[in-house]
Formats: sequence, C-alpha cells, structure tokens
Amino acid sequence: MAIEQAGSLARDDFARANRVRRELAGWLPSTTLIVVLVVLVLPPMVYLLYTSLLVELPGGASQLALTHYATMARDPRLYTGLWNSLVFSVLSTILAIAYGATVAWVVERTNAPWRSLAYFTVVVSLGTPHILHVAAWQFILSRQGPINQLYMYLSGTSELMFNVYSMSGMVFVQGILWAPLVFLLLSAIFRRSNAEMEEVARICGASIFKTVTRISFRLAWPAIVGMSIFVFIRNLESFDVPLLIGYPASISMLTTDIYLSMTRVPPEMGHASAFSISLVLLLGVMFYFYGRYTRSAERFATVTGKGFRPRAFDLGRWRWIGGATVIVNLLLVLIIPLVALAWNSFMPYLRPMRPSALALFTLDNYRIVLEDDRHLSLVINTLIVAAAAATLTMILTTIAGWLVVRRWRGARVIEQLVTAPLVFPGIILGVALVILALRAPFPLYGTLAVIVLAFVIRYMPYGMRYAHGGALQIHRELEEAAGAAGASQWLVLRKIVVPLLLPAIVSGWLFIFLIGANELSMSVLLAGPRSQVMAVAMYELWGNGQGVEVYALGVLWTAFMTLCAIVFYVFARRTGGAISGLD
Amino acid sequence: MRTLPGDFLAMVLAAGAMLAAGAAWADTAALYAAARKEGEVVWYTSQVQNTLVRPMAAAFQRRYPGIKVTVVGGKNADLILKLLAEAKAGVYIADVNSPARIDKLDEAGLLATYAPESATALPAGYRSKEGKWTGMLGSIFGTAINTELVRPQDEPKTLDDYLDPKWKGKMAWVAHYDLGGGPGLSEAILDRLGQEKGMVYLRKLAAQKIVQVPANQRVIMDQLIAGEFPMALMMFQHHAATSIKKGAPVKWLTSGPVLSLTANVVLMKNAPHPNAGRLFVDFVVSKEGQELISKAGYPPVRPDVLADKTVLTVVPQGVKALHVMPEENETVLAAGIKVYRDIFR
Repeated sequence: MAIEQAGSLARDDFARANRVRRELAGWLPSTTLIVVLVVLVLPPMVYLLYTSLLVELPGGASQLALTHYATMARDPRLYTGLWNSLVFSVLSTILAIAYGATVAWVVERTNAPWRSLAYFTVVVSLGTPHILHVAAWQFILSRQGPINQLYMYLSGTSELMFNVYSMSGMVFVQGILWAPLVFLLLSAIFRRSNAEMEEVARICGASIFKTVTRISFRLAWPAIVGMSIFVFIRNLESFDVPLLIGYPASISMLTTDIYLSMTRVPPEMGHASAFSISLVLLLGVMFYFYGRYTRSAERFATVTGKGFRPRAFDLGRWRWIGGATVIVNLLLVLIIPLVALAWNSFMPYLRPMRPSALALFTLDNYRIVLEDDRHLSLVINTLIVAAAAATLTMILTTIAGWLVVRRWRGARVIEQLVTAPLVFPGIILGVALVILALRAPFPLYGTLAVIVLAFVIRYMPYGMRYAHGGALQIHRELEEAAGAAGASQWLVLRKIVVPLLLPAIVSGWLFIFLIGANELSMSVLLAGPRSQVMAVAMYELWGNGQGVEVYALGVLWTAFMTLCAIVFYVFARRTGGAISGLD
Repeated sequence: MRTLPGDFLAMVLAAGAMLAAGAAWADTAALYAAARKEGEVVWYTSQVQNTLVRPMAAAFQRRYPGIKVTVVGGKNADLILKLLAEAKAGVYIADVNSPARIDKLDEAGLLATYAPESATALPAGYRSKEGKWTGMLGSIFGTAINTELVRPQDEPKTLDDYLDPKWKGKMAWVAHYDLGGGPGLSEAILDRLGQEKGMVYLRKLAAQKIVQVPANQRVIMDQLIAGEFPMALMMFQHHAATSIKKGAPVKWLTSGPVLSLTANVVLMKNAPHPNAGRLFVDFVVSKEGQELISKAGYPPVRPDVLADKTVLTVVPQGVKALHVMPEENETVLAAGIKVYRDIFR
C-alpha cells in the first residue's frame, strides 16, 4: 500500500517534472529572444521617451514635461499635415505594392520573357544610394529635365507637362523608390506558392485574370497586407521625399516641422521624439488589428507536405505583356535614374540634358574621386559593417519570424519589439547609441561594432518582414511530422524551417546589406576617427559643395555594389540550392 | 613728403614687430616640442574634406613632422551632439573643433581660452575678446541669379525690386533653421529696415511665394545653375565664385538681404593633446594656413593674405549687411526662427 502510494507519488512527480520541462521548453526560446531584443530595443526606446519629455529651460537647466506633445497637438498645421501625410502614404503605398507585386508575380510565376532581368534591376537599384535616386528623379521630372524640356520644345510653350513639385510627383517618386523592396519580398513569397491551385483554376475554366486575382494574389494576401502596413508606416514617417519634393511646393506634411527642427545646430530633438513616440503608440494599435487578421493565416499556407513544386504559369498569347512589365520596370527603377546620374557625373555643374551641354563633357569628377586614397579603407569598412549587420539581423529575425508565426509564448511581445525600431528616427537612434557606447564598460565608442549594432536595430523590422512573410507560408504539418519523428524544436528549425525559408532569408540579407552600405544619417554620427564608412565620404561630397562629384562617386559605388551583389547571388544560388534541394 | 617723426614711428614699430616675432618664434619652438611629445591632434570639423580639411591636415603634418592630424568629420549638428554627449560621459577625444558653436560649448564649459600669437594679425571682428575662439574663414550670403534666365536690365537693383510680381514663385532659398536661410534673411532685413518697416517688408516678401528648398546652399546653387529657378536668396558668395570659374551661368548680387558670418576654430578644454591643439589653431590662422584657405576658394580672415580674385573677403563698401559674431549666433538664430515661423511657414 505504502509502496503503491510512493509509486503513484513518484509518477505524479515524474509527470509534473515532465510538464515543467515541457513548459520550460516552450518558454526558453521565446524568453531568450525577448531578452536579446529588449537589450537591443529598450535603451533607444527609453532614450526616445526621455528626449520627448525633456524640456530645456533658459539658462541651461531642463525639466521633464509634456511640452513637446502639447506643441505638436496645438500646431494648427498638424491637422492639414496629417491629412496630406495620410493621402501621400496611402497613395504611394498602393502604388508601390501594386507595382512591386505585379512585377514579382510576372517574374516568379509566369513564363514571361527576360524575367531574370528583374533581379538585376532591383539589385543595382538598391545598390545606388537612396539620396541619389531621389535627386535623379527630381532632375528628370523637373523643369530642366528631359521630359519637360522635350515637351516645351515640341509644344513651343514654357508650360510644364508634369510638375514634380506636387502631390502626384511625391507619390510617384516614393512609389518607385519602395517598389524594389516590395518586389524582393513578394518574389520570395510567390516562389514558394503552390502552383496546383492555379492549375486547377485554369483547368476549371477560370480566365487568367480571374486566376490571378482569386488564387495567386489571394494566397499571397497575408504577406501583402503585412507589407502594406509596413510600407505605409515607412511612408508616414519618411522625411526625404515629402521634404525634398513636397516642401518646395508648400505641401505641409506631418514630418515637415520635425525635419526643420532637426536642421538647427544643435538639433531640437524633443519634437521629433514626441512624434516618434506617438507613432509607436499608433503602431501598437495597428499591430493589434494586424494580429487579429493573421490569426487565421494558416489557411494561406501553401508549402505543405504534399508534393510541392512551383510551376510557371503559362501566359499564352499575353506573354508579351509580361515581358513589357519587366522592361518598364527596368526603365523606371534603373535605367532612367542611372542615366540621369551618369549624365550629371560627366558635367562640371548640373546641366539640362541638351546636345549643347555635351561640349562641357568632363572626366574631372571621376579623376577627383579616384585620386582620393582613403576610399579603399572606406570600402573595406563598409563591406564589413553591412555584411555583419545583414547576417546578425537575419539570424535574429528568422528565429523571431518563426516563433511569431507558430505563436510561441510571448509571440506578440516579440513582434512588437522587432518592429518598434521602424519608427525610430535615424538621428535619435544614432544619438542613443553614442550615449550608450560612451557609457559601455568595454571600449565600444567609435568602433565599427557600434555601427553594426545600430544597423541591426534599424533593419530588424525589414528582416522581420522577409522572415515573417516567408514563415507564414510554411504549413505546420511539416514540422509536426518532424516532431512526431522525434526531432527537437531546434532540429526542426535547422533542418526544416531554415531551408524552406532560405529564399526569403537570402533576399532579406541582400536587401539589408545593400541599404546598410548606403545608410547616411547614423553612419555619419557614429563613425569615429578609425571607423569611417563610405556613407561619410558620400555625405561629405553631397553636403559640402561638390554637388557633381557625388554623382561620379555614386556611379562608381553602384557599379561596385552590383558586383558584390552578383558575387553573393551566384554564391547563394550554389550553396542555397544544395541546402534546400530546390532551384 | 614724409616727416621725421613718421619715419621714427615706423622704425619703432618695425623693431617692436621683430621683437614680438622673435618671442613668438621661441614660443612656437617650445610649443612644437611639447606638441611632438603628444604626437597627435584630433580635429572635429564639418568643413569640406577634399578641398579644405585634407590639404590643411597635410600641410600641418609637413610643417610639424611627428604630429598626426586625425579628422572626425560630419555635419555641424552631428558634431555638436557628439561633443556634448562625450563631455557628459567624461570622455574627451577632440582637441580642436571648427566651425564651433561657441554659445553651446561655452554653456557646457568646454572652451579653453587661447589667443594664438598669429591671431594678432586678425581684424577685431575675427577674434574673440576673451580668446575663446579664433576666426578661420569668412562667408557672405547674398542673391544669386542665373544669367541665362535673367537679363541684365531685369536684375533686382533695390530691395523693392524683389517685391516685383514677376518674381512671384521664382525665388528660392534654404528652408533650414539656420542663418543661411529664412531666419538669417529675416534678421538681416529687420537690421536693415528697422523692426516696423522690416516686418512690413518681410510680409510682402512672403507673399512672393518663395520656393523653400530643404537642402543646403550648394544644392540650391546647382539647381539655380541648371535653370530650376532664376534667382536664389542667401547664397554663399564663394559658391558662386567657384561655379563662375567653371563657366556656370551665375552672378552674385548685393541688392537683396546680405549677411556675413565668421567661421571659427576653437581649442577644447580637457583636450587630450592640448599643446598640439594650440599649435594647430596657431597654424590655421598663420599666413601659411590662411593661404591654403584662399587656395581652397574661401575668403581668408587675415588682411595680409589675398583671396582668390573672384572671392570677396569683406562685404563691398556701401552695402548694408548684418554681421553675426560667433557669440551672437544663438540669439540671432532664435529670433530669426521665430520671425520665420510666423511669416514664411
């Protein structure tokens, strides 16, 4: 009797221990990740909150108060600005998504000609510094740009055909700027989508249009919605296009006053911080709804245990439209801006594109750039920083994306933490890291490591979009099968999830590598005497009166980044193909 | 005809100058010896790297072998954030800073007092009374026009010409909150016309719908040259000069608001290499240093160094301009931003 009791007690203990172990195993990965994320995200967040409340009083004293929030809410321009910003963000998000998704679908899912050109287009375009893209489009669409010049020449008037300094100009440029990101993200999604349903639809007599809208895009819908929210937030808080194009046209935007307050020396950071905190709160609300929306995302999982082989969709006699899409994309995203950059790089000062200006042709800008012997060390530093940041970010976000999609404990917290940096203004994050690095117990200040850290924090939301969007598509049954066969969660992640996610991880890595190599605002702030990166040289030329030399450096840098991307792509295709057994 | 006392005075002055030079030479030698032991000078600067900063660093290293110049570049706004954050954490990296925001650094107690020997050659407006800063180069803001788009007879000759309806929507300026944009322009106009008349003028100018470009003066100068607008206000004279030399269709005028500034160089308190820092500040205002500045296309501050013949070092005679001293920067800027926010935004 006593023995039986003892036995049952022992069994109870054993069962309880097992439960505890399972419970722990359920918590451990999430907890570890949450700790890492908190360490990364919380300090800048606290700093952001602190600066948003810090009010400087005359005479150097300061106090904590809600002044910046009050100023923001009281400004009558806030409400016209809010309206303009909403219109701008909604329209440019729609443009970027519609355009990027179309190109991605054509490239990944159809038999349109010249499809591989699209990757080349996107990679070269991302390798070009962002600021030069905006400048190029501004030049092309301006009064002196080829379009308006040609129109004025043909019509004989001095009227403009298209005024870039307008809401439509802003939406167009912003939409084009974000389309490559949308393309990269969605192409990874479409590549993994199951062709069976499309085929069935076609066999059942659905038209191409109906198949595309009812099946192809419907299946990618959660990813598209997730990305729309992402691009929308990015548009809402973006500074460059609204300012460079909207402000000269007197279109008041939400970010206008904030940007201007940052141009003061020293910058008035309270205003910008208050704005960012408000956005973080807004983001929380949006995530709540997004979370409810994706709760049933499994309906959309297309990578299942059943024979999975994506097949190209036959466009039939509409093949030429697919080809035309690829070519238009090549022109808009790459050729036209690059031609504008190249044209300016051969001019002694900015000139309209006219035959008469050819007499001014010069190689001086290239000579000056190439004679600068600092560039080699800048190139090496930049590659180290961008590659390290891309790798760390993708490791973190792959784990985060999977935990979130599989609804591990703490998933909501993880998602919030990873995405919060989206609304940190670059300069605030930069200053927060300067302060943290200065107080770190080990020498961190002025090293390349600080810049890597800053990039990881800043680009986590981007990496997350790739990883999360990819993970949404993988059906649970593959992992459950592995689990039933006795694999640990770690083994499942390593052997099943990562290989299936590889296209998304590779795209994300490349994206972060390319934009990291071209990041300006934080690099300039964080670079110490011995940790200078390319962006610093770019900034020096851009900001300090060598307007045209920066185009020469930009063209050379774009060429170099393209080379890097091609090397990476070939490498990834080779090893990636071997790992996943696909492609 | 010269008189004897005049000659005598000149001789006394010359002897005095020789004595002073001798003393200065001895000082410099001692300073160099001390600086050499430190071996490095760290220079925080937002000035142009390839035309100004690197030639200056190279010339200093040639002149004083054994002292390495380490440059930390960036925007002025970035550098001041960095300097203040470093000081708060008790980390001192910078020895010299140019151009420095005197008021903010002084407020934080970060300025060392140092009046270099060579600065005695500078006019009073180009050096600090207490030795907190030393003039490095000047800059003058005025109007720039595109000569392909504006005929000589259409050039604005008076302030009122800028209110002509034909310029509506055709003038541009920097949208930033700094003295080289709307805030500086507002203060220059108020200084020239007085508070009451000035405000009336500014309101009329605002009605001209000025194109506010959120970029720096150089970018706007490039857009002006490309023909994006025929006229831009508050443009650097030396930017215009550099472009004119390359054959660009641009002309610089003083008929509109004119403002001049002195860019300075300061020695930081708690500098890790104080002697090398002193030697560097000394070099920047020396004849050799100022000749480099002139060669880079900037207006030097020493009267005995000639600027490039296209570059103005002082506001031309008869032109009413507002000169802002480094100490006044914050006061003038804050007042200017207030007016600018009320009227032009």
